[in-house]
Amino acid sequence: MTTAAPHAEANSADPGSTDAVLGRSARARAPRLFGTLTAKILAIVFVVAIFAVPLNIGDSYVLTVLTTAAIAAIAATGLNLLTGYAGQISLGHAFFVGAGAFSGQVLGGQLGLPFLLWLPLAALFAGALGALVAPFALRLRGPYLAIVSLGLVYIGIYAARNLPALTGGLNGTVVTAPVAIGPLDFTSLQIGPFLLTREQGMFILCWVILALVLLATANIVRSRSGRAMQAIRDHDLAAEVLGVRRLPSMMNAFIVSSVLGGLAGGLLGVQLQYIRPENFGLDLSIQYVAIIVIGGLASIWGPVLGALFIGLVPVMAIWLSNYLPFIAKPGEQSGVSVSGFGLIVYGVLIVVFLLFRRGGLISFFHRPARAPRAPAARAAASDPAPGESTTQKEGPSS
Amino acid sequence: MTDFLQTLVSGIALGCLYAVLALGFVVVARASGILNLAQGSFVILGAYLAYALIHQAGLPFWVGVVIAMAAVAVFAVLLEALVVHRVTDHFAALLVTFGITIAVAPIVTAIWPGDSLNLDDPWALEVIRIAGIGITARDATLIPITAVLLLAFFLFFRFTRIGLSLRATAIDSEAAMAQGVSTRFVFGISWGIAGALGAFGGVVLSTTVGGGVRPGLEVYAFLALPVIILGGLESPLGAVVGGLIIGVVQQFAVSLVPESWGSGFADVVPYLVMLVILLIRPAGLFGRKEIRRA
Repeated sequence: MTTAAPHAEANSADPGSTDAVLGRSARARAPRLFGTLTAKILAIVFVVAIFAVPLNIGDSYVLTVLTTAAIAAIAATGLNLLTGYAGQISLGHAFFVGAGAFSGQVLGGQLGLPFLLWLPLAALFAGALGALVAPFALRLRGPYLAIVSLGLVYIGIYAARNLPALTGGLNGTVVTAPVAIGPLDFTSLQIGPFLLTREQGMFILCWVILALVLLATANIVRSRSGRAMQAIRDHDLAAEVLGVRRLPSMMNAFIVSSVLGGLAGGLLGVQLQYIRPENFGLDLSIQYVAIIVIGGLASIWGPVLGALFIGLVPVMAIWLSNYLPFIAKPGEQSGVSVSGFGLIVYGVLIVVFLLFRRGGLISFFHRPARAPRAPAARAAASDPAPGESTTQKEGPSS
Repeated sequence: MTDFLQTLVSGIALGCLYAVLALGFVVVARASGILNLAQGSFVILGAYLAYALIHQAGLPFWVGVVIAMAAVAVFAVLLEALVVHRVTDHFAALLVTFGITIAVAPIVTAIWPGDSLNLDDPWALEVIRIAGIGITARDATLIPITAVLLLAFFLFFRFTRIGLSLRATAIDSEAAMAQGVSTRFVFGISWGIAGALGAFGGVVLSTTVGGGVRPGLEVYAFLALPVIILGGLESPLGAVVGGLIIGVVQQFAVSLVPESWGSGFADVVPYLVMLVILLIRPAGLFGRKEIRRA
């Protein structure tokens, strides 16, 4: 510990070392990926469940709902990086999802590229579009991104409708892009003696990709660039004084979120098997906003929880229509339609969570923060105890 | 020449509508700095209330419109006092107001179902001819009414005590408070104005040919967003000038752009104008360049 090696343990309290001068104490290190033992165990349970659930549930409807939720969670994780961690509201995430879906079909279906090539390329295409738009939208502080991204949705639908060679125009297109990694075809997966259905294969594929996305996002968030985004969100002026540049940091968040949107779009196209420009309108953007606000802004698992919840809303609406007269049964005209019921639920819950529970659904699972040290700190402030006060009070005493 | 003037007049009529919708956003943005996406709910609520009052209750057209405007203004004031005022930061306020529009629109369209409800406006399809230019009776009525409305609005801002407190709060809310201006009152007033303007905009939107009171009107309120970028987020004058510019540009796009550019090009023109403005003059025509001090 006392050796003067340049990269000694970061928590060595040697006052003369450069680490101490630059404030690189143990606290300034990136947070751990899995903070607690519980988190590690839950992550293992999650990975096991990805394979255990589809093998034990044969019902294709349930599997389809869950797979769609995983795809929504991938897109929402991207939006959460931008809105939750970087503090920029986008109402146009559906634009990037649509870009990924249509470019996925062009690359995988029309050009016949293999899965491992077309899906990343589709995601990168969406990211490139994000990089084109970002300088317009992020130059100014304020709600500009929300407005520009709303415009993107309409420009995107116009473009998709008028490029029939690529998107099928008004009629849309059947998605024929392959979903196979080498001999592993996810539409008819063979595990040992079992032949899995398309729904089971897609479930495994989408949830595995979601798990990888979550891992990547957790690492981005705890890395320098991720902490830079959060610093700009919390106090842009203070962050800039500390050497974090605002525009590059925000563009970074925006481009990564577009890439994840495109990735989700490519998968959504394969999952739906038939896509039209209208699929990627404002309603889809609203869903993603609802997912992150209801699930939990600026949390890794929030979008997953939110996506599962949002996926259940239409199912609930159809079930409730048997009991509540004001919800129209499928095919009926009177009352609130199932999609309308969904919008009401999203809108009301966005308002309720932002007013009363900013942490979203995920915050119900978090343990309450450690018992507040406020009384002790107050006592220390009025009667500074030697030794203790230096660790709690910073700055103002000087 | 006549074609040119014809398009210009229709463009101005469309621009008046944009100006009204944009002013609704600007009034609230000036007072409290919030981009109020609940404006969409004011538009659709105003249009459907007007339908209920005029078509279902049988009131005369203008009486119904005025009552609908007043009712939506009350709704807006209550919304601000009960919901939006509890939110402390602009980030959450934008999402909350967006959530309100998402939730209100399907409720309203479920109460009054139908794809296109007739508002019984007094103009039908009449066309007035002035020097060879055909102006629909609707445009001929709406342009002066909007002009009077906007003029009244500016006189109110410029010459009344409440207008003064609105402007003072816009410049520096803390200093205004220190001078005895109640910011809660100012927020309430500005939301009320925004509600009334939104309801009027909704009625105007519903009287377009082949339109009617219909689902999706709330999204049309967002057509004013490019206008406020063009005019400057917090500038009422910018909202009017920007609205007229975008209205005229869009109308010329409808008549001049060739078929090969595809269907729906005119609908995205406002957004394309917005992108150009953000590139060359991001603060807008009448916006102030932001200067920040610590």
